[in-house]
Amino acid sequence: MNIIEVENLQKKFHGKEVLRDLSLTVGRGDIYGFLGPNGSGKTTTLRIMLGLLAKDGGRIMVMGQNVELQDPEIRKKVNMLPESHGFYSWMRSTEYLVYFGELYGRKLDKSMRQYLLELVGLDSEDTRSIRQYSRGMKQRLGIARTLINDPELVFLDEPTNGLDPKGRRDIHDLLKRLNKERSMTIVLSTHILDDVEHLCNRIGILSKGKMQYQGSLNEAEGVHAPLYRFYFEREVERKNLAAIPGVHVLSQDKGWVHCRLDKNSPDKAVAALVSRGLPISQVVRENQELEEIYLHYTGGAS
Amino acid sequence: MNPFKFTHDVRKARIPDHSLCASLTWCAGINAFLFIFFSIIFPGTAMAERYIDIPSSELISVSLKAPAGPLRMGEVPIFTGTITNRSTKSLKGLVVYLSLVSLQPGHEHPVDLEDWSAQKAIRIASLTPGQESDHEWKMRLIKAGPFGAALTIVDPESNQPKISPLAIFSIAPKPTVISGRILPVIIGMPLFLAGLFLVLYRTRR
Amino acid sequence: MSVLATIAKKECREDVFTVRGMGLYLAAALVLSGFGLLLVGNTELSLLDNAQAVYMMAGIILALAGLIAVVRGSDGFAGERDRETLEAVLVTPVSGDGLAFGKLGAIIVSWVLLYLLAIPYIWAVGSSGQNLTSSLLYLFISGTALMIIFGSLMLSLSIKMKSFKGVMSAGLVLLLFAAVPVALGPSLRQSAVGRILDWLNPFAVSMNMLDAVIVDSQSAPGQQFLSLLVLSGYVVIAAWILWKSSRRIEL
Repeated sequence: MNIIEVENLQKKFHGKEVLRDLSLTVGRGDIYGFLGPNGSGKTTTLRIMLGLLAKDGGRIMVMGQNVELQDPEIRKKVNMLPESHGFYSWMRSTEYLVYFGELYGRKLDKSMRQYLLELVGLDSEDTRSIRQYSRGMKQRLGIARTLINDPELVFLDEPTNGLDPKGRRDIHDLLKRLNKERSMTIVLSTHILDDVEHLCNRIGILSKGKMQYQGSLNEAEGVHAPLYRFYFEREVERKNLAAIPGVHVLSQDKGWVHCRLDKNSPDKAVAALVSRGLPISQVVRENQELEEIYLHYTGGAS
Repeated sequence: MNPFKFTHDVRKARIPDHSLCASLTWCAGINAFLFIFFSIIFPGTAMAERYIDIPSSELISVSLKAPAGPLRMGEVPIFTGTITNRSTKSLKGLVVYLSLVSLQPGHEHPVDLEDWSAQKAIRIASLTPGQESDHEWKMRLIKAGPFGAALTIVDPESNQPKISPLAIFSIAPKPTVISGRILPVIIGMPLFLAGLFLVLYRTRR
Repeated sequence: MSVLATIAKKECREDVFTVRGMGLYLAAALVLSGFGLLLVGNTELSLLDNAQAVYMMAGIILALAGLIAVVRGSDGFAGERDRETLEAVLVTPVSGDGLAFGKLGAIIVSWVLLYLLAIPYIWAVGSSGQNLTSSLLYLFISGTALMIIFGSLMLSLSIKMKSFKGVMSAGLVLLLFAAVPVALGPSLRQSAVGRILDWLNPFAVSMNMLDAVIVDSQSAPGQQFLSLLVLSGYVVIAAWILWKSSRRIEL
């Protein structure tokens, strides 16, 4: 069952089209990686999904409700960590959580505050104001805030920005645990591929306001122009390989040939090779790096 | 028959110093001059305290009466003006306005009525022969010292304004802002706030 | 605690715990002290009648209140947008109008704080004169009305305009327009156009009402009925504008 359904979403800013017929679905319990270069429209899409921006066209259903209605009941089950780093810097971390707790209609007692802060690795006894926090600490506090209402669906916009490697790993572990233990659906908007590889089961790649790819991470790693290594019992001439339609030789090292198959299934390619009398003995499919896929779909934009 | 009708004992009137004339407005100056002139010619004529009438040789007479009793800053006494049609025909569209001069010796000057009275001028639509019209002017006394007030009446058919004699009165001073009371506040409040701010800010580091 | 009170409480604490908030009160105290100093130091002003001095001080207090309404109203949404704190609040289940009226509540509390701050000044200037109690009462009424009017309009602008600087500039222009008729000469204000302008301008209505109460001792509610009615009308209109514009708040 899908928790988010977006169809043909359109958005323009000052006449400039920033989202073009964007469609995506997020299943309940997914950790969905929303990938795309800066300015591709990821944050705009998230904001529209949360009803923070109006759309110019298309249809969005979150938890079966039209988000344009801005239903408070849905908002009680959803939360978001914005990419921006705005905090009420004069507050203390506990005051910050209490304030947002009250906005969600929850009174956070001391044990709850302590639990949330320790969950993200912050000291609950810290009496400093937020203005004294490092960027990483603020990011952790922001994540603690998104958990205040025990949401079913969380949107995290660049959640590991500003975190050191250990902090990033801690957050990965936390998100995995929340997803597993509480069946929390997480939509992760990022351009940090390491986060996606560690966390996500499904991804959507956005570029220039258009969804370029959507599917499981495993599918992504093999869906387009998959890479293969063929082993021939003897070295074959490159021109013989190049003559086979849909086979692009990338490199050759003695009996090993590294190639990309153009929408050909490996069976057809192997059959073609055998029919030409080429002594093929091994076929190895190579996993493509996510980075390569990402660069492929986004045209190398960063 | 005496052509000038004086209703009260002129000897009791407080006549301003002659040097005053130079510093008065033109209307008040002319009026003061006429007053002194007639006072010398008819020394025995009667006039009430602070109440002076003008010669009735003209078509209109105008007078202004200052309130009796001591006056004090901050009060809003009523000055009564009387306009009388002494002619045999009706007068129409008369405009009567109030003027005020400060008579502080050595600092005589006209006073802008802006802060003193919202009611500076009135219009009398019609005045039948012999008719007397009384009007009241509220004046807020905002400054202490000796003052003179006069009414000027403009008859659209004549090119000569008529001016009442000066109604002279004295305003007793009243303390306005007590510096001993305000100084602690104007110094203390910003200091208190700055101190409070520092304390709060330090606890919120 | 209702969400409205939660928001108002947070805004008030922000007033007290930030340089931005406390600076406004300190600046207001300095302005009032400056005027107080003039009242005892300047020859002309020191001769002013008590009532006149209180009236002038009341005008300064209302101008400061207007300024605070402009600053706080602009900051309400556009400032939070600039500081990137708005997004997290908009995600919460709090409705747009709940958020806007919570912020308006905080603006009114700001006015109450300013009023409390101003009481010692009014007392110091006017206690030896007339109408002190009614001056304080009508100052509170007119100040509250003006804060609601200007606060609502500024919050509405703040919701619609994205930049804090833009909203502030628009607010200051609005405040200047409101103050201009008061600065016009009495003769111009007594003309038909002047009177219409006066009734159209809540700031002028308040000042005229205070003039009548403080200087002319017309403090009976019946005597100020029309002014109070007009101010109430503006309050309702401004609150309605805020309600309309806050039904959907976008980032």
